[in-house]
Amino acid sequence: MLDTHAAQARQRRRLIKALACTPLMSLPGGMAVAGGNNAASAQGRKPLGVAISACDDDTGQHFASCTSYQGVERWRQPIRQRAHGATRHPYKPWALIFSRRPGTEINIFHLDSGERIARIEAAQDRHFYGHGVFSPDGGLLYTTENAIAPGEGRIGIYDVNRDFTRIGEFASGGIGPHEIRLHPDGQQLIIANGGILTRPETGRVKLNLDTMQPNLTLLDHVSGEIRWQGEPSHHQLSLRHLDVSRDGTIVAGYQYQGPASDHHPLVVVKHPSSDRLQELPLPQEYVPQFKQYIASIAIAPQGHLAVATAPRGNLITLWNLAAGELETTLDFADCAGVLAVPVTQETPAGFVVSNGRGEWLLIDEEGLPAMGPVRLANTHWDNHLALM
Amino acid sequence: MSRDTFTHAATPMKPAQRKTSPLALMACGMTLMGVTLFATSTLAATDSIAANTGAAGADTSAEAVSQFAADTLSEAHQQLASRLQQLAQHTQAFCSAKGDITLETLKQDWRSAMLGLNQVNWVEMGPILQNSRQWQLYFWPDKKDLVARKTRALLAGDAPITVESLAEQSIVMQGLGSVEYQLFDARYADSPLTADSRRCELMTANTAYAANTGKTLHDEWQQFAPQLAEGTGAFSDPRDAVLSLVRAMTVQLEAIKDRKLRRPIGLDNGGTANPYAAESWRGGMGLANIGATLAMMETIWLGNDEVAGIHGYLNQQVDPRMVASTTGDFADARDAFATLPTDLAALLRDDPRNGELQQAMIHIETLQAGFADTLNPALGLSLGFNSTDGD
Repeated sequence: MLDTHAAQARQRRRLIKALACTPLMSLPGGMAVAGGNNAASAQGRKPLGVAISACDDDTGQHFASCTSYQGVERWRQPIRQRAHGATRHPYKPWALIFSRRPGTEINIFHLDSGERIARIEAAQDRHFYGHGVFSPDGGLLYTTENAIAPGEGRIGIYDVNRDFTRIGEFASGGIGPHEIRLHPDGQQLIIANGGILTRPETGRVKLNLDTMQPNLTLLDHVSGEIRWQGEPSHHQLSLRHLDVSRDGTIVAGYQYQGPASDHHPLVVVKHPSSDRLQELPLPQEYVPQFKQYIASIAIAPQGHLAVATAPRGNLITLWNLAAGELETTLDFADCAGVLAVPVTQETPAGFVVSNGRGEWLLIDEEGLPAMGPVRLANTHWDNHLALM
Repeated sequence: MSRDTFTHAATPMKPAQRKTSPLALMACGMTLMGVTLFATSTLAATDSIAANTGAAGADTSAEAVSQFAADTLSEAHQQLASRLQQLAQHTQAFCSAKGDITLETLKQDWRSAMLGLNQVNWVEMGPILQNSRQWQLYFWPDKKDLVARKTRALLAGDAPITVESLAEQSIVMQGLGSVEYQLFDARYADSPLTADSRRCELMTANTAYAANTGKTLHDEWQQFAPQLAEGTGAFSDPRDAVLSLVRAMTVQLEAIKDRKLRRPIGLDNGGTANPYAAESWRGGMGLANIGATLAMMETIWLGNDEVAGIHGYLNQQVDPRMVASTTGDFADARDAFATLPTDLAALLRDDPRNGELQQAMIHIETLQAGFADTLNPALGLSLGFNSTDGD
């Protein structure tokens, strides 16, 4: 990002031109094909019945794994840096897996063979936060990044048709942009700006807990303009992970940075009809168990139900979005990855949940175990599952 | 079961006596209920724990400790299977009006099966983790009371209820939770189970299904046990096998503290007790379940006079004072639970600020903290890959 306003304006004009010239940009009939991380994103293409997840083995070696909804691993490939989230190209059989902060790699694998297709390196003075998403046409890749020197959040933009050349960036609208999704309107990027400043030289140490300003941001994916922002009720509610349904209901999870005994909500909703964030009450008796921490969010495609994983509470939690309340819970140790999955010939619709001890479970929409858990030896499933 | 079953079974002990075998204590308690908890051989072996905790000459190798744990848990899986089988057989006899099986016998069988389940469902390894068995055998916490809703719905229909048809039902209907509902729920207080009724049809299928699950679980445990004993397969070596048990104890003790005790007692909710948040509130086993888990953990922790148990292995790995402290905490928790009734829900209704319950709570918190805050860090154990992630 250049320093002066004039330079920024010039860069933006060049970028908009580049974005407008991307050959795949125009889609017939305004079809909304969301980015590819969740069931809502699956509209317009057939899911393959597999998910991509990062994992570690017992020795600490990092991998990308392609695994069926039932928990049968199709392939796994070693990667140099611990990864976090993943996404699929909307049309090509490519799985992208993003390095965890402050990592600097995105690895691209062929979904069928597991063969590595490419590796994207972070730009100078940038690192990744572990998430990214494609434009509706698949022509551009957007990733959450840290501009290290100024300590500001960026959305890196990569041209898929030019070997993922980095063609520019947007301001993310905050510090520490984390998960990013494409809105089903096909126009906006949904970004969770966690608000926490970290620097590579101090690793994962949080440097601004007193002054952090997390927010949820909707950004125009062509112009980079901020269309909407909402802030949590407390400045230390770091907003990290999110999912979006087909109707545009957004659910996000918080990680509270204040005292363990404080009572704050940890799940928040933005309904399509509202300009405000609705924080869902966390019943008092669950406060100690959640330990102020939500790992992943998955929303049912219809938008009536969301699952939030609480690994520090060893708990899968289901949230009734119409009633705005915690519906039920299921014990599942160290659970983190969660993914809304459509019905297949072998599996019912519901949610796949993974955990750090290698277990893989399919639950139904009542929150009851429907299949598994199956346990893969020598495997620790990492934070997220991505629909392929 | 009377609320004071455990109270008179295990009178408060002096500190000097507290090394009495937990299995012996459990057996005393259960003998009063007409149930033999542990095979004689186990009791004979564990009776000598008191004198031989850390006895010179006991094998403290990881190999011996993991073998001892595998053998002890094999016996517990066998017990669970046979108790579920007994419940099924007695239910069938009751429902076909054969023999002299009473409703009270079935209730005792259920309690015995619950204790058996709580001896093994904390281990977090092997077949109990697979195919939703942990939930299938007893679905809890059941925040929406699915067990009641689904049982009533099934009874209201007229399709035949068989083991095969239960396989198509929710897992809530396949285990001891639905048996508990049918045996103990207030809805049926004035209309107890009678032979040749639709409720008996469900009870027969339900208990047979649970017995099948128990048998499969035991069969699969037999296949799995050598991995634990030898530190192979799911484990990288015998040390990993032993430390996996330490990790399982840590996780389960936290669950006992937070969910089985703090929540129903109301410690996280401004002090308002909620008896319905107690585990097994219908059947009145909320505290007995915890006691069964603690007893099995302590057995594996202490070992016997040939094998030193987990504590003996850890003495070589970390400061022995940490280990001794946890050994003492196990005993304190056992003593505290011995003074309590089996039924947490009833205790909370009658005396929500019961001092002995508070004392037991404190001992569980101390025991849990010893694992989570002292032993695990000293052993380099991380509780969870994701729970420690922070991203």
